[in-house]
Amino acid sequence: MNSSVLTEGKSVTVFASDYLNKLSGEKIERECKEFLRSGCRQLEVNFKNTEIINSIGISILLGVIDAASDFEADVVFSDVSEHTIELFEMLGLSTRVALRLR
Amino acid sequence: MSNLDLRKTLSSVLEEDFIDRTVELERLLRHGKGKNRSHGLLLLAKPAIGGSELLRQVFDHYFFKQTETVPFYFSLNKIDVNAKNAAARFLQTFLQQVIAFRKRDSNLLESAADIDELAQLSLASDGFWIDRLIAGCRAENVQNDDRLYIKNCLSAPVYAAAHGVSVYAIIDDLHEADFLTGDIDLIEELKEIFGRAGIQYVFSGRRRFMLNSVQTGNTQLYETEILSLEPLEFNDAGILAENLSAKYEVKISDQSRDLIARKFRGNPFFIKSLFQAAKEKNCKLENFHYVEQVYADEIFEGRIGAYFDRVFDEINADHEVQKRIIGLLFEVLTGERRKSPLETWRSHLALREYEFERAMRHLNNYEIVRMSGNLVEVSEEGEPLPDYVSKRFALEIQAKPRVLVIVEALKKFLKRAPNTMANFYRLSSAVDLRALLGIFNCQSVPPDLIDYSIFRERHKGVENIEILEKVDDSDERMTLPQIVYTAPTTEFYEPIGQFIDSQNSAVALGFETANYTDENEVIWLAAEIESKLEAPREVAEFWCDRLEMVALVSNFQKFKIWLIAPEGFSPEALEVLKERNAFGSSRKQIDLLKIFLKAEDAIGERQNRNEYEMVVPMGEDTELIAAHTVEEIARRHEFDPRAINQIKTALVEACINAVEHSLSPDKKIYQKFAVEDDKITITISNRGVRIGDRKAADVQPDADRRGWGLKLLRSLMDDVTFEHVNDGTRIRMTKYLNPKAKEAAAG
Repeated sequence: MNSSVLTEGKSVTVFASDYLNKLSGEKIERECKEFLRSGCRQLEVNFKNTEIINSIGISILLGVIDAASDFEADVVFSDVSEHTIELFEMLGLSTRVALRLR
Repeated sequence: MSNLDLRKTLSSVLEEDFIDRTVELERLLRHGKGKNRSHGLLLLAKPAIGGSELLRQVFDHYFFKQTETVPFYFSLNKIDVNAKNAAARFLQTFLQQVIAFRKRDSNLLESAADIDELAQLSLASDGFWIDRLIAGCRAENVQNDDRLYIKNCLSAPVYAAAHGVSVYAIIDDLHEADFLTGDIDLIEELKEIFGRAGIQYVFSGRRRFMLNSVQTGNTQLYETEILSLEPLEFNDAGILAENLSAKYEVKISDQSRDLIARKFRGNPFFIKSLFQAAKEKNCKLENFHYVEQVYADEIFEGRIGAYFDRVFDEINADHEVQKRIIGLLFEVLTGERRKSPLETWRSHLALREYEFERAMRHLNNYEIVRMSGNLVEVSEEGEPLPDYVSKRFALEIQAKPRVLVIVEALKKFLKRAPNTMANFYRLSSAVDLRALLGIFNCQSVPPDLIDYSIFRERHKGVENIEILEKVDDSDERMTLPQIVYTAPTTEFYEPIGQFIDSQNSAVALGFETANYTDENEVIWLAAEIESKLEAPREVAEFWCDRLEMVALVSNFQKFKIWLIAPEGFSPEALEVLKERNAFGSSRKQIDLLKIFLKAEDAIGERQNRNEYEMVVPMGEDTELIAAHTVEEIARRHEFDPRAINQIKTALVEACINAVEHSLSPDKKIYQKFAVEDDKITITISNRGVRIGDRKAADVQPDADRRGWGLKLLRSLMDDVTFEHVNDGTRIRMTKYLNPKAKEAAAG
């Protein structure tokens, strides 16, 4: 369930867990906001381990996007599966964040 | 004043709640529009299975639709005493309903206005013909010409039609005419008038009375269409029980629902009576004990008991005669033989010939007995009749104390309940030999699917699909007979019932080819027998002996024995079958034969074998367990990876919905996955606050993102419905295997 983090200068990669729900989503959100506050301006959320995302998890990701925007940071969702992209499209996320396919 | 918002007048339930007779309702509605072949339709119903409610639904439908068709519903009733009174009420009811329809005022249907008052209420456009009609009837009445008066009254719908009113006449409970006194036969008059009237009409009543009365006498209605109303199928009876459970707020379980459906054999009146009684007594019906307790009360002092009291009063009002009838019925129901000679009844009842004939006719019309030649056979359908007979026998003939009889009955009912269901399970899993034989139809089939000696050698241990491919490729074929009639073997030779349930053995009469000559006549004697392993020699011999005895007793000249054993037959048993010129098949062969004959639907493969159920506790991400389970199921049934991901996500969302804000008392999510040929249907249920009852503040604080879960469900699945159940919510979601199946389902 835990996300892990890679940092490189002002770039940070946060790894989402296998199931992105309220709890794991909030953990990512908290970590991302901490990195943004400490000067990170290139934020990557990596979904290579993620099997299922639920609607609450997706709504929390919107919070991450909003926070990055507030800090004028770039944010990208990487290693996203086709199915997850489909979900993001259904809920309008794909227009608000850069997506990199798995 | 218009009050068309009420939407029901004569019927007792709203049309949308009347879901158990959709096919019949549609046919009757179509008939009213003149879209069927003929003007007349006979609705033949078993007693007390809801025929009148169905017809009242038809009336209400037309009444509230307010199309050109004016509905008219009339129910014959013995309270009229004679045909003249019945005809007078017919005229009054007709005018009342036409005027109520024209004025769009259903309150008028309740009024006690006489025909003069009704005439005053009529619209100006109808006033002329209504006044003339009333005057015509009155003139015949003044002249004391009863026959002409009755004819004029009964012709009212025809008279109206002649003045441009398109009437759909529905005349119900024709069997009540049997109780009317006097020389004038109301049924004959109705047949004569409506048989040549050229207006749409329905005659309805108890089926045995109807068939006898409409096809005899001076006017015989052979040109009418026939609609038979049967008891509800097991599944429909279960749905009715669920609806009544919700309506009366009487809790049931799956097990008790099935018991209710089975014990009443799909009779809606009995099922409804049980729920009404449970509601009045504030009882649940959630286990066998509660069901049987309420049922016992119903038999002794409830609606079901009262129904049979009325029936027996109609058969013969004299309680001493009733006791003699009860005694005879009890003797047959508890004895080994279901039939007894008519002479026995005649001598025991000791009635004048006219009274005896009348009593037997009513017993037959109520389907308590069946008259066949000189034998009287007692009905075995359902439990209420035998239980009512036993009650009266114990109380009135054995004169046992009431309390003791009730206690004994309750004990018997409780012991019987598991057996009722066990017998039903056996029946459901039986081959349905009669249906299978009935579709033989001279078809050519591979002998591999009938003869176990071939099957054993070539196909034992081989997958079904591979066997079917092989037999498809082979040219070897045998021709099955053309079967024209099937019956349980017990109908021909009752003692065989000691060894085998009636549904497990059948006699099929037919021809070896489609050439219907004496030489070609053949009789198949089939039996589905029990054996855990391949049936041994002794079992094959035993059954060949039994069925040969049936052939001997029944004087069958050319016959073929066909035995079906679950695992087929041992080599020694196959030798016996060969010597006796008999066929032996395994259950697997029968399953393959059904597939080969494309007969799976025809012979009632009702149960969906690909159905999975699981219950998971709420919380701790248990929705993932459900998601992985459904993934495995969907993969087994070859859904593509994209669809599987969509199903998994939808399931997770449905589980979250069940958890959130439901305040579930048991904190469990109930899930059912049913896979059919072209789709998977997932049902997620939970107890607690229902989705529509949740307060807005409970749902989602963020207005923009509120409802994302439901949006995802609808986007990911092909069909999603939300239902309120007793104390919770049920989400039903369907995903089709391919787009074509989805389009086909959408029509």
